[in-house]
Amino acid sequence: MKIKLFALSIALLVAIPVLAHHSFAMFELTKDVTYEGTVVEYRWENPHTHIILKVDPGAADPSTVGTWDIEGGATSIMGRQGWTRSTFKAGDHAKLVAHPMKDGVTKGASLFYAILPDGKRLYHDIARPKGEGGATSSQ
Amino acid sequence: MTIVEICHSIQQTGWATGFRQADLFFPLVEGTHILSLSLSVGLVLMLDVRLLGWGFQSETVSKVMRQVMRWALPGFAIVIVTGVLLFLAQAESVYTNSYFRVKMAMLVLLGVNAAIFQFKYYPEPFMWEKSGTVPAGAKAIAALSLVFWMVVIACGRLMAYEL
Repeated sequence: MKIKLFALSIALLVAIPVLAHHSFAMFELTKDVTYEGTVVEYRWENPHTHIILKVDPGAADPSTVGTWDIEGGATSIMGRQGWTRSTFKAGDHAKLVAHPMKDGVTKGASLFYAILPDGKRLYHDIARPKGEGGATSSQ
Repeated sequence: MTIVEICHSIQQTGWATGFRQADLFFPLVEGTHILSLSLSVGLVLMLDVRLLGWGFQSETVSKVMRQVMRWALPGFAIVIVTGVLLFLAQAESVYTNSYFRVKMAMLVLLGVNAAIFQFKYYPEPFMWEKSGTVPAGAKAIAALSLVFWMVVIACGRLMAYEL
């Protein structure tokens, strides 16, 4: 009986690499990329707020063209930085600075801050750009 | 309807959306899920340690098991209830997560493991207890339980690292 259990567990361990073919959701934290486009979805929720942003061809940075999942933090964390459930809505124009995925393929990024029309910045969390005081690590 | 589609519609319900947007309730449920691991898995690991002969040797297996289960069963109830709530709130995101799938597969194996212990080694209370030796099969079950629970907990944490 224990041989059967052992064999089962080995079989499962072998299956893990096959199941885990997605890349880690690690972001290139040293890279700040500006994504400017139209909000497709503004998901104000836990565990992470998501802004789905569509960047049209002809954007200043061609690498940002496409539909991106820009991930923010929990509602309490974002709320403390001034975000609300109605900061954005579908159809709004948005300019977001974020850290893209390390794999360079998946269109996902970790939100650093949003630049509002009046120039004010809405940060994801307490991190600030180097030289502006506050924590320098974005996560 | 595929399972993914069912999960998608669950995630879109008003209840699930409200739960995700709750400032305090969501972290409370998630925090309780993690903290209740000590009250469930932590206690079961003590039983595994006893079976493997690594500790608690001054008490009989049945005594350790009785005391462990007294608190581990309510502990597991809390883990399961909070886990189901968390699943319903993010059904689709979580169902398509590789680490979640491994976690669930491991939980099934743990269930089978526990059932084998319950039906093969627990009834006729511990006739083998008097001899003082834990049967090799019970030790194997304890070893697997230890390893599998570590994998479950690691997967639970790693879920956050897959977009």
